[in-house]
Amino acid sequence: MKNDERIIKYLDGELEEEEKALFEKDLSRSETLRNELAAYKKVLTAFDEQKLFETESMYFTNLVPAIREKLGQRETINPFRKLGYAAAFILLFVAGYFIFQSLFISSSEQIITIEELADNMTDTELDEMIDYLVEGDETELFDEDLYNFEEDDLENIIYVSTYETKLAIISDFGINNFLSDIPETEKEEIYNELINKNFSSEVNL
Amino acid sequence: MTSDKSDYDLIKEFIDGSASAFNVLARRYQEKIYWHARRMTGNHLDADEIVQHVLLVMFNKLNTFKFQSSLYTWIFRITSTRSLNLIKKRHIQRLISLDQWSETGEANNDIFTKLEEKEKFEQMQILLKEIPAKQREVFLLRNFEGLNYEEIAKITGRSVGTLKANYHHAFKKIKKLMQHYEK
Repeated sequence: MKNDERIIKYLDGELEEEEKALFEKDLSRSETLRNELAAYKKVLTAFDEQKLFETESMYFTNLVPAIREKLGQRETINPFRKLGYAAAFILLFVAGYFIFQSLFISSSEQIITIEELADNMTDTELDEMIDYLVEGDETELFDEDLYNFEEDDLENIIYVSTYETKLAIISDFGINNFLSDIPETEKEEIYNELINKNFSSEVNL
Repeated sequence: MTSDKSDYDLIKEFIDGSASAFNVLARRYQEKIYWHARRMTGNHLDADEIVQHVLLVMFNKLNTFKFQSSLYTWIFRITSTRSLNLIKKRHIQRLISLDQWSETGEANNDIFTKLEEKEKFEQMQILLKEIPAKQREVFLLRNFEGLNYEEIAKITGRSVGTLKANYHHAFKKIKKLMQHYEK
């Protein structure tokens, strides 16, 4: 076990009794280990200190009344909200279509970037689309897979959609049909090209 | 307004129509929600949005609460998901240059009473922002909420093994970054 791992487990109370005794013995003999432990403890101390920071109590006093006010406003139901979602869903299809085209159809055609797509929508439309893509029912247990997207820009657009949305995109754009219509050799070429391609740099995000 | 009543009793009262029961529950959890969201997102405006959203969800969905987990777990599951969602949303907004949202006005819209403490808080946020959101989440739930891995697993839906790995990576990186910034 590396020192970092031992120290974290030691501070976390995760070492077995035997491991803990051995660690403490090593600690008494190694200055390097003691310094490393001190560095980790310093992190915890810095965060612990924050628990005592003073804050404006009025903010929290006013929160519940603010919620009550919002709830009052919500009693007036906006019938166009659902239509807004539908519109956003259509926009999502458009976005998906352009992404699909840029990835699958032809690498020689001009690639439409997300920025270009965004330029053709109003800010409100974009905002609605993002909300639609991102939000789900937070009271449900969520799908781990939907959150494995942080590093890659293009994947952001795809992974933030709900599972159902992704299925809808696949279904509506006939990706399965498209793949079933092309010869196996071409399919294999596309597959090889895709797995070797850096999408984020390709679409210049 | 404080109350010695249990969450269970307050939920029952709320479902039976007591508006004040909701107020007590909201006040019991609002600071925890706010601070978790604040440390996840790094700014007051987003944390404010999250805490209000979570309280609204509580109001609207508490009648469906099945008592299969603690209210705390349920609330933190909503807070956690909302925080991750908002982080993603901000990321996408920056990605497509829809960056109307910004931290301007943040200085006039904060809840710290001491400038020195706000600065210290922001220094630590710089470190936290350097680590992936899911790792940050585990680190915060361990160190600020004092939750064990089993409790965090119920909130995040991740396995204990994954959470331990997340925590290890987060802690190691924060320590490294802190040493780096001190040089």
